[in-house]
Amino acid sequence: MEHTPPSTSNEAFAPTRWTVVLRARGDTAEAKAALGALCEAYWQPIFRFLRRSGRDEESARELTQEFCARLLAGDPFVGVDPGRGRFRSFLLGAVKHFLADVRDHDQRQKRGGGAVLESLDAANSTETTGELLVPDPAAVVPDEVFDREWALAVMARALSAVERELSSEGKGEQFKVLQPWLAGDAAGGLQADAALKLGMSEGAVKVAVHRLRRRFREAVRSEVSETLRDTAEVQEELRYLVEVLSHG
Amino acid sequence: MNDDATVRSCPECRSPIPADAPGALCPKCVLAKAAAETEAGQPEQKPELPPLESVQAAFPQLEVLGLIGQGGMGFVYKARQPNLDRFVALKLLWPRLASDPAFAERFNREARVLARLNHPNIVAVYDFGCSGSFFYLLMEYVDGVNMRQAMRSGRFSPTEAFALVPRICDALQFAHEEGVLHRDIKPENILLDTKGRLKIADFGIAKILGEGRGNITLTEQGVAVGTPLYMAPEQLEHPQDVDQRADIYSLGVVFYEMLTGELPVGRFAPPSQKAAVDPRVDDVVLRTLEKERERRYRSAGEVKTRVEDIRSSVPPTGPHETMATGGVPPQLSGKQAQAPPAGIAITQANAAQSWSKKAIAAAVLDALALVPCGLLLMVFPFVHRLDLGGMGAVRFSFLPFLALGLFSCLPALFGAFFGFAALNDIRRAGGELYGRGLALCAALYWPLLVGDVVLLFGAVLLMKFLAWTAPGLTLLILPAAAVVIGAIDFLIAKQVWRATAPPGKPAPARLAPAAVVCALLVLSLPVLVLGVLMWVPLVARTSSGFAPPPPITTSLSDREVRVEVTTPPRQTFTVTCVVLSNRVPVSSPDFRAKVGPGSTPGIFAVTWRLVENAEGAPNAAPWEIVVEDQVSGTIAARLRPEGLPALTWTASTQARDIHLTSAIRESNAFEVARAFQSGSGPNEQSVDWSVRLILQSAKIGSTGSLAGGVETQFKVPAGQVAVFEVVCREGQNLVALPGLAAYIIASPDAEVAGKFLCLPESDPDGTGDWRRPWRVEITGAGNKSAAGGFSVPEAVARYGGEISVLTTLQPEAEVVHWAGQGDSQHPALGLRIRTLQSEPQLASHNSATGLGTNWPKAFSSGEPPGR
Repeated sequence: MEHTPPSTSNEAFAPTRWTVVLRARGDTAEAKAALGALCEAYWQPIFRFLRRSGRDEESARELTQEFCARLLAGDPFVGVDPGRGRFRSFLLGAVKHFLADVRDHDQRQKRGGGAVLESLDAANSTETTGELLVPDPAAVVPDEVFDREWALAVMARALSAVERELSSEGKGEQFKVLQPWLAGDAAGGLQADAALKLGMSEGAVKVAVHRLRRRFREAVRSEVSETLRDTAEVQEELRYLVEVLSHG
Repeated sequence: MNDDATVRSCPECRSPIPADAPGALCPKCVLAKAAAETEAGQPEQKPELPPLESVQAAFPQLEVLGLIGQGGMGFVYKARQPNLDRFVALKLLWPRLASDPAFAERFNREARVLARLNHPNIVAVYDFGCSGSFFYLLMEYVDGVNMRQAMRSGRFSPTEAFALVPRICDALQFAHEEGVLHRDIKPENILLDTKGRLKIADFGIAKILGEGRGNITLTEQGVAVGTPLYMAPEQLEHPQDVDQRADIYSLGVVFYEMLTGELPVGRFAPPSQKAAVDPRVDDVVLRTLEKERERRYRSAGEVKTRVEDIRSSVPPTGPHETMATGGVPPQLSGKQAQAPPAGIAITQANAAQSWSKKAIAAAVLDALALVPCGLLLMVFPFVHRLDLGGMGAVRFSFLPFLALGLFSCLPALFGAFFGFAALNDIRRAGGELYGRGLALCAALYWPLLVGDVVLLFGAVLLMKFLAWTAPGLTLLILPAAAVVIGAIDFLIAKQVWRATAPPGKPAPARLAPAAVVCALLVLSLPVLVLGVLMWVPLVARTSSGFAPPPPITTSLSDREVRVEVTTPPRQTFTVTCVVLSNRVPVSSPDFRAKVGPGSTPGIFAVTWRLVENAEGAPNAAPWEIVVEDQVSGTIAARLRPEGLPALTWTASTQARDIHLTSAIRESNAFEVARAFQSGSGPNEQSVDWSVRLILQSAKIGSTGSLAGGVETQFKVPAGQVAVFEVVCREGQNLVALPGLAAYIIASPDAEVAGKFLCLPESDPDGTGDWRRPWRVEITGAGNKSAAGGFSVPEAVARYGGEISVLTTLQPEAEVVHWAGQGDSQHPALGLRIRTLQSEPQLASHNSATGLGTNWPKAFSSGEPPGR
């Protein structure tokens, strides 16, 4: 199971890892650790992006591993300027470079009668491939795909962080019941039902929802700010992610 | 998160939820909400504070003094406008808002409207605009606290709530008529200045911030602007579609919170069930809190009218309304009823202030307590001293004074109690009562005074200690103690003064009442000191100030009487024993033991005890007096009077016969007497033998340190030669030590002093380095003396002290005085004094002294000379 995308990794939020990476230009151990943590956190978007670009699940995993390893090793394929400020942009650039690199490699292998593409159906058995497009190694995958996956990863990480936090306070059940309200009041439904389910007063549910939203907001912001150079850009980044999701 | 076939759509945005959405939630809505609520005025991650210099640089026309607040909307600085010489509040909106171009336009439009709001209960906007990278509002500076801070320091009384709410209504009504909604009424935005005026801040700011038309993504989510707990339901749901009734709802929440200290969340109780208020208030509060705005009051003015009605209608309107409303809780009668019916401000209430009766009562009680206490302190010592001064046997009983003391306790206790109660009343009344300073004084005076007395006793103890160790510092203690005590009192009074400040009125900087308390106490202190000084000698039975009284304890057992003495440092300790027979001093030798000074206080035990085995020595004493140095654990001196009869010790069996006179201090001399019966046969008369111990300590002169030895004073019988010999005991026999002898022939009445001393190994006379550890010396009349020192091959047992003996010499007799005690290695040494007939009789040449025992042969009776 070591290849399971670690979307629920339980490391605590550290102050702006991306800043650490940038400041040290990826040279120090601390920066390496920060970069590693970031890669681990955003394993899923990379993986899915690779999936989308026509890899089957197994090779996508392997490629993701390789990508991360090369990224951490400071491989010169990372010909992107990290100074652009956002880890997301940086990572996307790096992945694209990496993909091009791999494609060249594949081509060479193909000419030598190397690997054969595997069946598309084989991957359909796993849940993460349910809605994948028909993979076409030659097709150019739009950046939005990566960004959308990225946004989902941010959300998933924030959700799991809040869930962890609440579970540690013994409020796991409350989280499960109140989670829908994170999308909005309409999504939540009747608070009276939730109150009944949780054995709380309606007023208490109202307050709990308010608190849950606030925690989630904090978690999202903290998650996003990890990947930014300037924490003041959190709002802008969030807006962008929302937009990406709206289009998706 | 694994949805198989059915594609669910988001109830919020109607778009399908992607199957890989975490938590099966619509990611768009979730993230949008997370992003939006942040912008809606509650940023959980605080943006960095703009440095003061950059703010100052952006506003050159102001003196920016410092940050005074930081909230959802930005930073507030206190600043000064030098040209107008006034303080202003400079509110900077979050810098990131400036990046929104639509914001500037909206800001200008709204701020223009706000600047038009001119009302005494609304914080005025002087100016607004964009300077540097800051959008700013320049506002009236309110020197005070906001209602949240006021509530935190103490809940509002119903009276206060009733006085404040109409003024909030005034402000809201005015603004609503001007077409401005506040949209964020909450305690943080209601300011109370130091003069009791109420001002509402941040009118319409929520709208400026929340109306984010520029960003569709954010506002289309239905972002509510404001503070959720204070917001009307419709404001939460449809922020765009609100009217003045939303503000009225928020006002209701604030009102409810002021009355009950809680928020009306869920199924909440009406205020009258939570606090002691008129039940009619419930109707008003609950109607402002209606979920549907149609059922609320239509205007703030209406709320005000209802509140004013309730305030003014209570008792003066007669029984009708009281009965109609089913009775009025007592809290609403009284002060509130007398208050003016409308437009009350606390400032107006100030005019009608009255004095706190409890404070006055407390002060009177405190003063009452002073009288008996003063009597106790001042009169009693004098009265008692008369008794000591020899007025006779009349002794004043302590009981009246004890009663007096108790009588002074009661008013003091009640005074302090009432004082604190008055402080509490005044605080709860929100400063509507006078007499806070008085209450403070009354509350603290006696408790602090008692504390001071305790400290003062500590200081006196310190003085006593210093009298032994560093007498020069003694006089410094009292002033130092006064300063320390005064400082402690002041700090306590200051703390209490601050802690009991009425809510809404921040403690003024002046601490005059605390200083008054402190001054009162410090002034009381000299009286106390005087009292204590008069008491101390009385208690300690000393007449010479703070010299330590003799700490003497005695204990009796069936074998001994033991007296423990603590002696001052650097003083010699002398024990003189007088043996009494039937209470008459007998002429048998008196004994004196002197113990040399140490640098620390000495502890000695003087024990009079029977000797267990009289060692078979012919003249061995049946009892002895031993002086033990408890510090070093050695025996300093052992006094054994000889020629006394054996005694039957009855000390413990006949306790009633024991007469123990108490130690009387008289120029450092103490006398302890202990009597007991001598046992004998039925035919013999029993004799009451006792020993008087005179314990003295004296500062040592220039004689240097003491050594062991025997010192005698005697008279030589007529026609006799007195021979001194140092002897040691060998079994049954006494052996004279060679060379350590002297003789004297003196006229019959002349007093002669003889010494046998073990000197320390120094050069006591300063005559050279000749060591004379032993010395025998006889000094006769006319200062004729014979003195000599001889070295003894071996050191003898240690001697801790010097024994002085007053001896009356009998003709043809000999006495031995033992100095110190022997041990297995060293013989005990004594001084033997023999008297011998001197022949021929002396006539003209009647005095001679000499070393050794070979006195002039001319006088010799043929007796062989000593060795």
